[in-house]
Amino acid sequence: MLINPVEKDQKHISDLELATGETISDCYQCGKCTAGCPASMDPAPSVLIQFLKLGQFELAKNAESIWSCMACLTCSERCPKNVSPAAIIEGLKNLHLRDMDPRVNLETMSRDLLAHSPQMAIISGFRKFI
Amino acid sequence: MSEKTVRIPYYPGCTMKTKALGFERSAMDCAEVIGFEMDELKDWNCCGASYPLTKDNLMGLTAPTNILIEAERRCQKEEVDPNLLTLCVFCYNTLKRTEFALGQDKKKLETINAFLDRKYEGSIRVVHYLEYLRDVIGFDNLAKMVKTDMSKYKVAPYYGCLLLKPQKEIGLDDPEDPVILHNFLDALGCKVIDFPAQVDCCGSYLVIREPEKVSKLSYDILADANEYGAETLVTACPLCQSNLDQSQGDKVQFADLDGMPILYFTQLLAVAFGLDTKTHKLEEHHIDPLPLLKAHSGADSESK
Amino acid sequence: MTKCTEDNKPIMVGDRTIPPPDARYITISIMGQPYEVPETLTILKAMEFVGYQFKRGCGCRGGICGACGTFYRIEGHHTLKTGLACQTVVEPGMILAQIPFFPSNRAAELDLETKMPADQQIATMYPEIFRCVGCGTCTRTCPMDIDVMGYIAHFKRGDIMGGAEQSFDCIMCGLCAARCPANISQFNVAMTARRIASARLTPKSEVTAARAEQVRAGRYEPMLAELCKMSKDELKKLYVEREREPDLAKPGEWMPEDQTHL
Repeated sequence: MLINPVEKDQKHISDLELATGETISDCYQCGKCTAGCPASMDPAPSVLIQFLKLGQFELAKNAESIWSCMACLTCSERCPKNVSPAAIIEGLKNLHLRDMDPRVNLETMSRDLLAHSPQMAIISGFRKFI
Repeated sequence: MSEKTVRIPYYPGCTMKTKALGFERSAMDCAEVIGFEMDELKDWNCCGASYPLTKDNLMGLTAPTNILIEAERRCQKEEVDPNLLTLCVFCYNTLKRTEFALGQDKKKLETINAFLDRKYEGSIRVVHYLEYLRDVIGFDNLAKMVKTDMSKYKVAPYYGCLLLKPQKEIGLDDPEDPVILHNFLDALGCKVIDFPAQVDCCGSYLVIREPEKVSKLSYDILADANEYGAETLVTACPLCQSNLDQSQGDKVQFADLDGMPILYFTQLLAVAFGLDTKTHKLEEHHIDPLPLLKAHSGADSESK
Repeated sequence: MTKCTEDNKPIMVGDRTIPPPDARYITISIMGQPYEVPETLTILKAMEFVGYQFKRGCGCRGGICGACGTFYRIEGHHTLKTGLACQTVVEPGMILAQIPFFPSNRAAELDLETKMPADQQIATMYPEIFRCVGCGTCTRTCPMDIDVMGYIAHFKRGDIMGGAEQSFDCIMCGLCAARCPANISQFNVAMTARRIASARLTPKSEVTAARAEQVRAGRYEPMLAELCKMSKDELKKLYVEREREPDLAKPGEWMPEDQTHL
């Protein structure tokens, strides 16, 4: 994938840093987060952060992989620079959710799933996807 | 052990009253033996099951703060130590991280208090049942209460994620190399199966959107435990229990793995104490643990 | 609207409220327009005083039908307040907005014969309850002082009966749903839960069922026929001379003298 390094979307990225409380420029791309991530994300967590470091806000925001994050916090625990990729990813998801662009549809969701899943799965899932 | 039963304010969480009822019942029965009572808060709401990872999300803190306020009120009224006992790991994580955040950031606390039109003073300490066993009772004392010979049980301790992370805020144990469940199982006299995937994520809430991923992650964990010789897993999280247990119904993913029962650690503790497990909902697990219990039992206080 | 004299005193017309001569007047704002109204009136009466005619958003006038839910602010204060128009007395600087109807979610079908556990029924009919963030705005909005967040919390943890009981005082005004950031229509969830609770969770009354059977079998037909044949005077006599079990009689001890109809 060729990235045009000239385009800068710095305002959005600064807003994201303010919202999440994270400092994206701290990341030095060691890759420990990606190595520990169970979600098989593509783009992976460190790649998403690299997009943001290069000012490619849309590439990070529109990546489908952010929806596979399961908030296991392995990335945040292992980052040697105390960056939390999980927080950044949640920030990106919130941009969609707060713009009325959810990933789970209550009306078409499986009734079976609703009846039989543990409430904690539904409650936390709704917070992450709706 | 003290003669008088200690009553500790207890927060169950939504799942505990329905899908994880066996977890609560076994925990309460064991607490009775150990000498404390899990005294449920009178008025409680759902904790939200999800600690907001972004600093700008204060709404996600309103629900856990409400719970901490209830607990604080109760502890002040009854003049007891301001501890709040939890069993469900999601609730533990959400409440503990809220306790930490509100302790650190007074401005945040003020804002939430103003919004809720209530006042949380910040006194509550959230405690997990396992933590209580380790730090207040002591695993040595726990071992003395064991009545059943558990030496034939090959049990793998499965930690999951939220019991331990983030360490800076939860502080229960080392997220990479934890020992609390290991020591718990040791105290019971089981053969403890240490296995690498014990801190790998089961997939959590992805089960409502990408169940095949949960199936794969569960398989990876269970196949690993199996390879190291485990015949059962214990966990503290109802979602881990559900994911690991229910996904074994995926016959394609689990084609080469025999059913491995997933127990709540208190269900195993009840067996160790020789208690009647009839009300502990063992029969509602997808992979039936009863054959395993029968195979290892000498005592006949197991449930039928 | 209000007919006024030269010095802006309102002229009393027709069947509107007639305030006492020394009544104090305050300024309130209705639909963005300022009006002078006597300070002791309720919002409903104040609006009618100035000439509004309620075609909707008005019902029992007694605080129990839920038709007159109102949002208002006091000028200069940022808090949004709620109340029932028929119960809330006007205050100086009140800025009113009536909400006669609020679009809320009501699940299409309620199957009372189902074997599905009640908590699963609610979860599948109203999954949005799991979006509740526990902010408590609904509870603070409720004009009946119900702990709305509390009963939703009961439903989330599968305690349908407990939530149904806690929601009992609900008058279906809809103000909670209007404010909920998670878009839950709390009052509809509660109504459904109350219906499920009484149909499926409350123990059935054996004696009522037995009596209903007797009625269906025609036990009371001859008595009704007898009464229908009586003249007005005969009925009056029968009523006045009827036997009545004494208030403090022990159960099963007192029997009427005329036992022909028992």
